[in-house]
Amino acid sequence: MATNNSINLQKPIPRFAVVNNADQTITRMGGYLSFANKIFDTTSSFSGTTYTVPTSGVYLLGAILNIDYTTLGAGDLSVSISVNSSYSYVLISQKLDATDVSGYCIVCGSTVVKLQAADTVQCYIGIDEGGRVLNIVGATSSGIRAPYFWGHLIAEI
Amino acid sequence: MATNNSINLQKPITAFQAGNTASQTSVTGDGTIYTVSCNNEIYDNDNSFDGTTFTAPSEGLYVIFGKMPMYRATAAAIADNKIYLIADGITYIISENQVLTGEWNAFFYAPKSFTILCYMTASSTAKFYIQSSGGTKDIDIYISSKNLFGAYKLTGID
Repeated sequence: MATNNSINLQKPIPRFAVVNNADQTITRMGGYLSFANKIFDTTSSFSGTTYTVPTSGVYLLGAILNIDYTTLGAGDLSVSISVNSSYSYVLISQKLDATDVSGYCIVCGSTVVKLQAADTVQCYIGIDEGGRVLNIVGATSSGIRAPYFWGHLIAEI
Repeated sequence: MATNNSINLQKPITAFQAGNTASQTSVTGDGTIYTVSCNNEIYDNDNSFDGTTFTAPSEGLYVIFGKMPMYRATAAAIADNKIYLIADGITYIISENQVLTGEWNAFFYAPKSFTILCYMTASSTAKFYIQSSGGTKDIDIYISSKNLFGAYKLTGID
């Protein structure tokens, strides 16, 4: 019998993994990404753009994005995991060259975050200056995980 | 009876980590898809890794991680570089970029680290690949920057 700190007592263990099958356009100043297609969500805590934390604890969170630049202009690109729309755990931050008319970027990152029940977690992409438009490429087939946003409780507090 | 921190009592927990003792030379650059080899096991609790392939012994969610330093000694034409993982038939793209002619003054590129949560069924496999095209087959996986490949089972399925 498990009596203390047993992962066996925490079922269903909070965890989610979501993808999005359609392309998304992100314009100046950025926005939160939507993920319409669930792979799993054991506590039904993910909706639209947002995972609402069901249980306080330490979570492993990550994302994979396939980003196309579709317009000309300089700008600072960043991808982060946002908590309560205030704290950002940056996965990547880079400057785009003004002369780089088109290109692409794969972001694959993860972080460990202490969260409280009812905290909200989102995947944020920022682009400032220069009028860049970003296309977040949707999953082109069921065999590719991008865009992919996931999280898993690894320890209760 | 588990009385405390019982996850530690569930051994053997599936986990492995491996690297290399030598560089892997001239593995891609001409479009060749190269399956990364890691011949030096640091640990492999239940012999689930054979040097290139991780075989999940049971269904569950696995954290798969790695690092891939690619190296090219000479300037080349435009090159498209891709690093990816295939786990249980699903492709996870870790890095994909285009390096232009003249941008090769940095000999190292794409020293990419990654950590991904992957669902795997029992007996399914995971492998780590690199591919570069646009030039000749002269890209190495450089030993001094320590390529790594590993995984551990986080949980089973509810």
